[in-house]
Amino acid sequence: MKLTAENIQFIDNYLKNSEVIYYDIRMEMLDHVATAVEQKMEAENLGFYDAFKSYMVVNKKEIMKENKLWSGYSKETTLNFLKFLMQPIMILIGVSFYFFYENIQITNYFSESFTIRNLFFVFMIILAFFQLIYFHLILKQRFFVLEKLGGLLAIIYYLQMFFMNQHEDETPSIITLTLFSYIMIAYLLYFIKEVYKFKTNKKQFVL
Amino acid sequence: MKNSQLYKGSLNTIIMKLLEEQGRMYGYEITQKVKEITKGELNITEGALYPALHKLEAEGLLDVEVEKVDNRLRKYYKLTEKGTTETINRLAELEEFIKNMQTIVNPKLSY
Repeated sequence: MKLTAENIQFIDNYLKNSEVIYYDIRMEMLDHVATAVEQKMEAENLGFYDAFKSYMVVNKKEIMKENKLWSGYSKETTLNFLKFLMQPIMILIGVSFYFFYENIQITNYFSESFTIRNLFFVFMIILAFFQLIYFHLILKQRFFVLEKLGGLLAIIYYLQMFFMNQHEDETPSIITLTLFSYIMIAYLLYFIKEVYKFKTNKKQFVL
Repeated sequence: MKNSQLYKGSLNTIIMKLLEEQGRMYGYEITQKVKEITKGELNITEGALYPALHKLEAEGLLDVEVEKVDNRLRKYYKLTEKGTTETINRLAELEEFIKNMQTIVNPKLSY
Protein backbone atom coordinates (compact mmCIF):
# COMPACT_ATOMS: atom_id res chain seq x y z
CA MET A 1 0.00 0.00 0.00
CA LYS A 2 1.56 3.30 -1.12
CA LEU A 3 1.57 6.39 1.08
CA THR A 4 -0.10 9.59 -0.10
CA ALA A 5 1.65 12.96 -0.42
CA GLU A 6 -0.07 13.99 2.86
CA ASN A 7 1.29 10.91 4.65
CA ILE A 8 4.79 11.72 3.40
CA GLN A 9 4.40 15.32 4.55
CA PHE A 10 3.26 14.06 7.96
CA ILE A 11 6.41 11.93 8.35
CA ASP A 12 8.59 14.81 7.14
CA ASN A 13 7.05 17.17 9.71
CA TYR A 14 7.46 14.56 12.43
CA LEU A 15 11.17 14.20 11.61
CA LYS A 16 11.59 17.98 11.44
CA ASN A 17 9.98 18.30 14.87
CA SER A 18 12.32 15.57 16.12
CA GLU A 19 15.22 17.86 15.17
CA VAL A 20 16.38 16.09 12.05
CA ILE A 21 17.48 19.45 10.68
CA TYR A 22 19.54 18.47 7.64
CA TYR A 23 17.49 18.05 4.49
CA ASP A 24 19.75 15.40 2.92
CA ILE A 25 19.72 13.25 6.08
CA ARG A 26 15.97 13.70 6.56
CA MET A 27 15.25 12.79 2.93
CA GLU A 28 16.87 9.38 3.37
CA MET A 29 15.35 8.80 6.80
CA LEU A 30 11.93 9.71 5.44
CA ASP A 31 12.16 7.12 2.68
CA HIS A 32 13.28 4.50 5.20
CA VAL A 33 10.38 5.18 7.58
CA ALA A 34 7.85 5.50 4.73
CA THR A 35 8.87 2.16 3.18
CA ALA A 36 8.75 0.43 6.56
CA VAL A 37 5.32 1.91 7.32
CA GLU A 38 3.99 0.86 3.90
CA GLN A 39 5.12 -2.71 4.53
CA LYS A 40 3.62 -2.69 8.01
CA MET A 41 0.29 -1.42 6.68
CA GLU A 42 0.22 -4.24 4.17
CA ALA A 43 1.50 -7.02 6.44
CA GLU A 44 -0.68 -6.17 9.43
CA ASN A 45 -3.60 -4.59 7.61
CA LEU A 46 -3.26 -1.30 9.48
CA GLY A 47 -4.13 2.30 8.63
CA PHE A 48 -1.33 4.84 8.14
CA TYR A 49 -1.41 6.43 11.61
CA ASP A 50 -1.55 3.10 13.46
CA ALA A 51 1.25 1.63 11.37
CA PHE A 52 3.36 4.78 11.78
CA LYS A 53 2.81 4.93 15.55
CA SER A 54 3.54 1.24 15.98
CA TYR A 55 6.74 1.48 13.88
CA MET A 56 8.05 4.58 15.63
CA VAL A 57 7.43 3.19 19.13
CA VAL A 58 9.87 0.38 18.38
CA ASN A 59 12.34 2.08 16.03
CA LYS A 60 12.46 5.78 16.93
CA LYS A 61 15.46 5.43 19.22
CA GLU A 62 17.52 3.65 16.56
CA ILE A 63 16.50 6.05 13.80
CA MET A 64 17.35 9.09 15.91
CA LYS A 65 20.73 7.59 16.71
CA GLU A 66 21.54 8.14 13.06
CA ASN A 67 20.66 11.82 13.42
CA LYS A 68 22.93 12.23 16.45
CA LEU A 69 25.83 10.77 14.50
CA TRP A 70 25.46 13.51 11.94
CA SER A 71 25.63 16.46 14.28
CA GLY A 72 28.91 18.33 14.28
CA TYR A 73 32.24 16.70 13.58
CA SER A 74 32.76 14.35 10.62
CA LYS A 75 35.85 12.13 10.63
CA GLU A 76 35.55 11.40 6.89
CA THR A 77 35.57 15.13 6.07
CA THR A 78 38.74 15.62 8.09
CA LEU A 79 40.41 12.65 6.38
CA ASN A 80 39.33 13.85 2.93
CA PHE A 81 40.67 17.31 3.74
CA LEU A 82 44.00 15.81 4.82
CA LYS A 83 44.16 13.92 1.52
CA PHE A 84 43.39 17.20 -0.28
CA LEU A 85 46.28 18.84 1.58
CA MET A 86 48.63 16.18 0.24
CA GLN A 87 47.85 16.82 -3.43
CA PRO A 88 50.95 17.96 -5.38
CA ILE A 89 49.43 21.33 -6.28
CA MET A 90 48.64 22.01 -2.63
CA ILE A 91 52.14 21.01 -1.54
CA LEU A 92 53.45 23.44 -4.15
CA ILE A 93 51.30 26.21 -2.68
CA GLY A 94 52.67 25.34 0.77
CA VAL A 95 56.28 25.46 -0.42
CA SER A 96 55.60 28.79 -2.16
CA PHE A 97 54.31 30.20 1.13
CA TYR A 98 57.50 29.09 2.83
CA PHE A 99 59.71 30.89 0.32
CA PHE A 100 57.45 33.91 0.49
CA TYR A 101 57.77 34.23 4.28
CA GLU A 102 61.47 33.36 4.10
CA ASN A 103 62.22 36.22 1.73
CA ILE A 104 59.75 38.88 2.79
CA GLN A 105 59.92 40.59 6.15
CA ILE A 106 56.22 40.25 6.69
CA THR A 107 56.08 42.32 9.91
CA ASN A 108 56.97 45.44 7.86
CA TYR A 109 53.54 45.29 6.31
CA PHE A 110 51.71 45.24 9.63
CA SER A 111 51.49 47.59 12.56
CA GLU A 112 51.17 47.04 16.29
CA SER A 113 47.46 47.70 16.12
CA PHE A 114 46.96 45.21 13.26
CA THR A 115 49.37 42.29 13.33
CA ILE A 116 49.60 39.26 11.08
CA ARG A 117 47.78 37.32 13.82
CA ASN A 118 44.87 39.72 13.40
CA LEU A 119 44.90 39.06 9.65
CA PHE A 120 44.55 35.31 10.19
CA PHE A 121 41.75 35.91 12.67
CA VAL A 122 39.90 38.24 10.27
CA PHE A 123 40.30 35.70 7.45
CA MET A 124 38.74 32.97 9.63
CA ILE A 125 35.88 35.22 10.70
CA ILE A 126 35.13 36.20 7.08
CA LEU A 127 35.12 32.52 6.05
CA ALA A 128 32.81 31.54 8.90
CA PHE A 129 30.50 34.49 8.24
CA PHE A 130 30.32 33.72 4.53
CA GLN A 131 29.44 30.09 5.29
CA LEU A 132 26.68 31.14 7.66
CA ILE A 133 25.15 33.45 5.05
CA TYR A 134 25.48 30.82 2.34
CA PHE A 135 23.96 28.00 4.41
CA HIS A 136 21.12 29.95 5.99
CA LEU A 137 20.20 32.72 3.57
CA ILE A 138 21.14 31.48 0.11
CA LEU A 139 20.47 27.73 0.31
CA LYS A 140 17.51 28.10 2.70
CA GLN A 141 17.58 24.34 3.36
CA ARG A 142 20.31 22.93 5.60
CA PHE A 143 22.48 20.21 4.05
CA PHE A 144 24.79 18.08 6.14
CA VAL A 145 26.97 17.37 3.13
CA LEU A 146 28.02 21.06 3.24
CA GLU A 147 27.65 22.02 6.89
CA LYS A 148 30.04 19.31 8.01
CA LEU A 149 32.72 21.59 6.57
CA GLY A 150 31.93 24.01 9.40
CA GLY A 151 33.27 21.46 11.92
CA LEU A 152 36.54 21.39 10.00
CA LEU A 153 36.76 25.17 10.06
CA ALA A 154 36.23 25.12 13.83
CA ILE A 155 39.17 22.70 14.25
CA ILE A 156 41.40 24.95 12.11
CA TYR A 157 40.28 27.97 14.12
CA TYR A 158 41.26 26.41 17.46
CA LEU A 159 44.58 25.14 16.09
CA GLN A 160 45.31 28.58 14.70
CA MET A 161 44.41 30.25 18.01
CA PHE A 162 46.71 27.88 19.85
CA PHE A 163 49.78 27.95 17.58
CA MET A 164 49.65 31.55 16.41
CA ASN A 165 49.24 33.00 19.89
CA GLN A 166 51.75 30.88 21.78
CA HIS A 167 54.22 33.76 22.28
CA GLU A 168 52.23 36.96 22.50
CA ASP A 169 55.22 39.28 22.14
CA GLU A 170 56.87 37.54 19.19
CA THR A 171 55.89 37.23 15.55
CA PRO A 172 54.95 33.61 14.79
CA SER A 173 57.76 31.59 13.19
CA ILE A 174 58.05 31.13 9.42
CA ILE A 175 56.99 27.49 9.81
CA THR A 176 53.84 28.47 11.75
CA LEU A 177 52.96 31.19 9.26
CA THR A 178 53.56 28.86 6.32
CA LEU A 179 51.54 26.05 7.87
CA PHE A 180 48.48 28.15 8.64
CA SER A 181 48.55 30.14 5.39
CA TYR A 182 48.70 26.79 3.60
CA ILE A 183 45.88 25.24 5.66
CA MET A 184 43.62 28.27 5.30
CA ILE A 185 44.07 28.62 1.56
CA ALA A 186 43.60 24.85 1.24
CA TYR A 187 40.39 25.08 3.28
CA LEU A 188 39.09 27.88 1.06
CA LEU A 189 39.83 25.84 -2.08
CA TYR A 190 38.37 22.69 -0.51
CA PHE A 191 35.20 24.58 0.43
CA ILE A 192 34.85 25.93 -3.14
CA LYS A 193 35.40 22.41 -4.51
CA GLU A 194 32.73 20.92 -2.22
CA VAL A 195 30.22 23.69 -3.02
CA TYR A 196 30.85 23.14 -6.72
CA LYS A 197 30.32 19.39 -6.29
CA PHE A 198 27.15 20.07 -4.31
CA LYS A 199 25.77 22.46 -6.92
CA THR A 200 26.49 19.94 -9.70
CA ASN A 201 24.61 17.23 -7.79
CA LYS A 202 21.97 19.51 -6.27
CA LYS A 203 19.17 18.14 -8.41
CA GLN A 204 19.67 14.94 -6.42
CA PHE A 205 18.43 16.65 -3.29
CA VAL A 206 15.47 18.60 -4.59
CA LEU A 207 12.02 17.18 -5.23
CA MET B 1 22.51 -6.07 15.02
CA LYS B 2 22.69 -9.55 16.51
CA ASN B 3 26.08 -10.39 18.09
CA SER B 4 27.11 -6.89 17.12
CA GLN B 5 30.74 -7.20 18.17
CA LEU B 6 31.28 -10.15 15.84
CA TYR B 7 29.40 -8.73 12.89
CA LYS B 8 30.41 -5.10 13.27
CA GLY B 9 33.75 -5.44 11.50
CA SER B 10 32.11 -7.14 8.52
CA LEU B 11 29.22 -4.74 8.00
CA ASN B 12 30.90 -2.81 5.18
CA THR B 13 31.85 -6.02 3.39
CA ILE B 14 28.29 -7.34 3.72
CA ILE B 15 26.93 -4.12 2.17
CA MET B 16 29.48 -4.18 -0.64
CA LYS B 17 28.83 -7.86 -1.38
CA LEU B 18 25.09 -7.19 -1.65
CA LEU B 19 25.64 -4.24 -3.95
CA GLU B 20 27.95 -6.32 -6.09
CA GLU B 21 25.16 -8.87 -6.53
CA GLN B 22 22.19 -6.54 -6.82
CA GLY B 23 23.68 -3.63 -8.75
CA ARG B 24 22.05 -0.84 -6.78
CA MET B 25 20.01 -0.80 -3.56
CA TYR B 26 18.48 1.69 -1.12
CA GLY B 27 18.91 1.62 2.65
CA TYR B 28 15.69 -0.13 3.69
CA GLU B 29 16.14 -2.69 0.92
CA ILE B 30 19.59 -3.60 2.27
CA THR B 31 18.24 -4.21 5.80
CA GLN B 32 15.46 -6.41 4.44
CA LYS B 33 17.72 -8.35 2.09
CA VAL B 34 20.15 -9.16 4.91
CA LYS B 35 17.25 -10.25 7.12
CA GLU B 36 15.88 -12.42 4.31
CA ILE B 37 19.21 -14.09 3.45
CA THR B 38 20.04 -14.83 7.08
CA LYS B 39 16.42 -15.89 7.82
CA GLY B 40 16.06 -13.12 10.40
CA GLU B 41 19.28 -13.99 12.23
CA LEU B 42 21.07 -10.79 11.28
CA ASN B 43 19.27 -7.51 11.70
CA ILE B 44 21.15 -4.42 10.53
CA THR B 45 19.87 -1.39 12.41
CA GLU B 46 19.40 2.04 10.83
CA GLY B 47 21.89 3.49 13.29
CA ALA B 48 24.60 1.16 11.95
CA LEU B 49 23.63 1.00 8.27
CA TYR B 50 23.47 4.65 7.21
CA PRO B 51 26.74 5.80 8.80
CA ALA B 52 28.41 2.80 7.09
CA LEU B 53 26.87 3.71 3.71
CA HIS B 54 27.88 7.37 4.06
CA LYS B 55 31.41 6.38 5.06
CA LEU B 56 31.76 4.12 2.02
CA GLU B 57 30.40 6.93 -0.14
CA ALA B 58 32.91 9.42 1.34
CA GLU B 59 35.71 6.93 0.63
CA GLY B 60 34.69 6.88 -3.02
CA LEU B 61 33.63 3.21 -2.91
CA LEU B 62 29.94 3.92 -3.45
CA ASP B 63 28.12 6.19 -5.84
CA VAL B 64 24.65 7.61 -5.31
CA GLU B 65 21.59 8.00 -7.52
CA VAL B 66 18.47 9.77 -6.28
CA GLU B 67 15.07 9.07 -7.80
CA LYS B 68 11.56 10.20 -7.06
CA VAL B 69 9.55 7.16 -5.96
CA ASP B 70 5.98 7.28 -4.60
CA ASN B 71 5.93 10.97 -3.56
CA ARG B 72 9.37 10.92 -2.01
CA LEU B 73 13.05 10.83 -2.91
CA ARG B 74 14.91 7.56 -2.76
CA LYS B 75 18.67 7.35 -2.54
CA TYR B 76 20.18 4.33 -4.30
CA TYR B 77 23.72 3.17 -3.67
CA LYS B 78 25.93 1.34 -6.16
CA LEU B 79 29.58 0.35 -6.26
CA THR B 80 32.06 2.58 -8.05
CA GLU B 81 34.87 1.06 -10.07
CA LYS B 82 37.15 1.47 -7.04
CA GLY B 83 34.40 -0.08 -4.90
CA THR B 84 34.14 -3.14 -7.13
CA THR B 85 37.88 -3.81 -6.84
CA GLU B 86 37.77 -3.17 -3.11
CA THR B 87 34.86 -5.63 -2.72
CA ILE B 88 36.96 -8.41 -4.21
CA ASN B 89 39.81 -7.61 -1.80
CA ARG B 90 37.56 -7.38 1.24
CA LEU B 91 35.73 -10.61 0.41
CA ALA B 92 39.05 -12.42 0.04
CA GLU B 93 40.13 -10.95 3.38
CA LEU B 94 36.86 -12.02 5.01
CA GLU B 95 37.13 -15.55 3.62
CA GLU B 96 40.66 -15.78 4.98
CA PHE B 97 39.39 -14.58 8.34
CA ILE B 98 36.59 -17.16 8.40
CA LYS B 99 39.08 -19.90 7.48
CA ASN B 100 41.42 -18.87 10.27
CA MET B 101 38.58 -18.66 12.77
CA GLN B 102 37.45 -22.13 11.76
CA THR B 103 40.96 -23.46 12.33
CA ILE B 104 40.97 -21.95 15.80
CA VAL B 105 37.40 -22.75 16.85
CA ASN B 106 37.08 -26.17 15.23
CA PRO B 107 40.50 -27.53 14.25
CA LYS B 108 39.19 -30.97 13.25
CA LEU B 109 36.79 -29.61 10.64
CA SER B 110 39.37 -27.46 8.99
CA TYR B 111 41.46 -30.42 7.85
